[in-house]
Amino acid sequence: MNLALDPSSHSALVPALEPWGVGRYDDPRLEQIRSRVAPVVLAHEQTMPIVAALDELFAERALVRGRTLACTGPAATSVAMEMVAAAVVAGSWLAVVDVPTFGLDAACEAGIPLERVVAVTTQSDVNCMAWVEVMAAAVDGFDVVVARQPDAQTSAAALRKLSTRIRQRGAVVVMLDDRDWNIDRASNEMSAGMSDGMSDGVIDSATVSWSGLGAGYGHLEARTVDLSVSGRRFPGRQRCRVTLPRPSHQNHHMEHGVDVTLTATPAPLFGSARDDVA
Amino acid sequence: MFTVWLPDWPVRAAGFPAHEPAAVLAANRVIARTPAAAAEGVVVGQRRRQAQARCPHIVLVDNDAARDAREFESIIRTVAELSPRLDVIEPGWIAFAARGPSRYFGGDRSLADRLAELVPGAGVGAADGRFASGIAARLSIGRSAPVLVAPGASASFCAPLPIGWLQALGEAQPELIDLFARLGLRRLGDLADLPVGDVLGRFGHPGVHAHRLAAGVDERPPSTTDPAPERRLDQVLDDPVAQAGAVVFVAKQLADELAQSLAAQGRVCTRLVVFFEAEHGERSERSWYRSAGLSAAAMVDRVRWQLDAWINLPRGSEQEITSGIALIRLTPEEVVADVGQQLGLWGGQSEADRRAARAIARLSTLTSSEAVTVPVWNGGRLPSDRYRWMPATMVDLDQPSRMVSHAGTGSGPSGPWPGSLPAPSPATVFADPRPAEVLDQHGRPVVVSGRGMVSAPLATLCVMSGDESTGWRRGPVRTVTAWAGPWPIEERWWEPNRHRRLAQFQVLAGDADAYLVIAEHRRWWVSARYD
Repeated sequence: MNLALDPSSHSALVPALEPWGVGRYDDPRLEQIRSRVAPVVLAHEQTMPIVAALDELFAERALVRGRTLACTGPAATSVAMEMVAAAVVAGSWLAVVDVPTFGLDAACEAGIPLERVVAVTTQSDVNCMAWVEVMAAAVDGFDVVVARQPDAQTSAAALRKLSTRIRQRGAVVVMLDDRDWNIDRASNEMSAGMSDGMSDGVIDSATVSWSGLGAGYGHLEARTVDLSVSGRRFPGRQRCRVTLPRPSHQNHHMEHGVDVTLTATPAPLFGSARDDVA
Repeated sequence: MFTVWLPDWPVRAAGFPAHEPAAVLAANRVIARTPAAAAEGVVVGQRRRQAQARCPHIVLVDNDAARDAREFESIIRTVAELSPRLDVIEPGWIAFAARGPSRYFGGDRSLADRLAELVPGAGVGAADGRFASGIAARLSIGRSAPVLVAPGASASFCAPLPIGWLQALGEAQPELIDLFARLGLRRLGDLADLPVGDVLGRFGHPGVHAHRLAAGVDERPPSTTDPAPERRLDQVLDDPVAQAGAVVFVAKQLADELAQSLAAQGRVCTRLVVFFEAEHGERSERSWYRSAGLSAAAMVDRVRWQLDAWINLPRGSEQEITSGIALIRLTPEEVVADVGQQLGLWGGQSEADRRAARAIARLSTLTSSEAVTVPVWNGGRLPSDRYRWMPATMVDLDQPSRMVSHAGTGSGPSGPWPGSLPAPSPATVFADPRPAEVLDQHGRPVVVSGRGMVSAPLATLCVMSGDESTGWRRGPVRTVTAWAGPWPIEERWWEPNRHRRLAQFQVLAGDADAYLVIAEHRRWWVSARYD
């Protein structure tokens, strides 16, 4: 673009040289240039992608690097999977720390490429510092970490250090906080305050309804989940209602030539899925 | 151009004699084996288990690039007696310019014989170019005599050879070779016959590179003159350094600087001369060649290999190191325009992959190698069977096919697994199912008959908590609002020990909590939760 030879843009450039002239002109090209040369990348601009269905929850419409989010409620694990899926698709690796129950089929259906998933189990019931150390190493190497906090009491100082590390490294940590819902962990209230103190936001889920299942017939097909986010980085409760599994991702699977609802659907679809492969 | 090539160098460097079956593994795959193992049917690329199945008494050792380089130093020194200016391409593979030495020793034939005599077991080849002489050296192993290609005859020598040689010598990506083969270009001559403009238009720079090599034209002749001094980088250490780690650290800074300054001009170094001088005046100089270009990390590797080999020289050899190192110099002797390596849209290693590999190694040392796992497709009807967690150190992470992640529920690579449930799958899968109690509306336990009929509709569900050792505690009794099933499964009826016969149910307890419940041997278990 040759600004100097174009008379209209030349005149528009003149006020830019005067210090008080800032904001007086409204040439869109100058706006464009100004945004292009802006030197600073703000912290909330360093983001990772998130699926469109969940982006209403966040003002940035993306996962902000360096944040710790907690997922609670009866759909905690599914929501956590949905949240990290787009980031892992974009090339990040996912570490799963101390979640031995992580359902890989569901993760695959959420669109997470499983070749970039690594699971770590710590001996946190023996040594609670092991969990903090493993988490620190995991946020160093992986952009996305899904973790469950150990039952044992972890010192507040160690957790503060860990949050600083997460912010420095720009990882996104999703804590599964399913105490109230998990059958095993109903009794433990000790670490509740801890994970609340560590997380920047809590995403609470409430299942509104399941569809597809009747009294002795059908099968689970989809559910409607209400999500709300609260926390110190999220002024004003953002809410949204999503359907899980997302209707769009079945197309995603079809693109790869494989049908996710293979066993549920009659034979012709099987044939068409095969044609896709060929 | 002469090439000296030692087949299966890693296994020779590990010190195994030819008559003993042994193999070297990298990422769980065989990369080199002794002739004895080859006779038993062990081939390069096999997995550990396959190699052991072919040859049960085989000795397997892990790959160690430093060991290969260290052991190779003696061979380099032997060849350097004949030609002082030689390129080390990788441990086990040397190339050098032939004109001077062969004139001195009375022709190519007598030089080749002398080489074959000095380095027993090596393949010796000579041709106009590096590529053709590399092939000649490999062919000479089978013919057990040096293969000499007459000047100007490289193109006709290459023409009848299969196109896979480009991949075997690391000059082209496997995908490109596969594409050539599918397009009907099965011989190097087929590729060389195509007009170069069309090859550029269809395959880009990698294609042109392959075309030139197939036509017997090397990228450029090896230079025998000293390079211009302005590009070389050196570091004089005022306090001579005696620790190898510290030297490598300094070399890393130099390599980064060198790679950066070359990259700023859009160039990449293909031949690097690494020079060390110790305080007492001993020197070590080696020239390293890599046709794809040396990145900063590759340069540091070469520095480390050379230093390691120098330190581990046997006592009393020439130029043995006796003091700390005082000077490090990196000289890029050959610099070519960096046409770039187009990484595939699918696959290829990204920075995140390399970072993850390092983190996996670190986590394995922090916990244990069994605690860091990656999923591997297993196949099965139950959610807990479908994937298996394998220790990450035992799996080749660069291989996405270990994971059929896009296969989705119910359609694995080997069959659709009839009887598995359709999507969505449960997000929480218990490794050990939890016992449960399922009652009908009159408070009687529900049973499933052998014909797959339930005795009564399901009315209440009570999941136990706790574990086997401390005893099970009853949880709250929940009302079943909806349910479906049974989906009967009978697995492995041909194996009495692993035979399973069960029925799956989907149960909605309360309004919102969905469980996957199984009935087996008149007992009920919760195997997964849709949370």
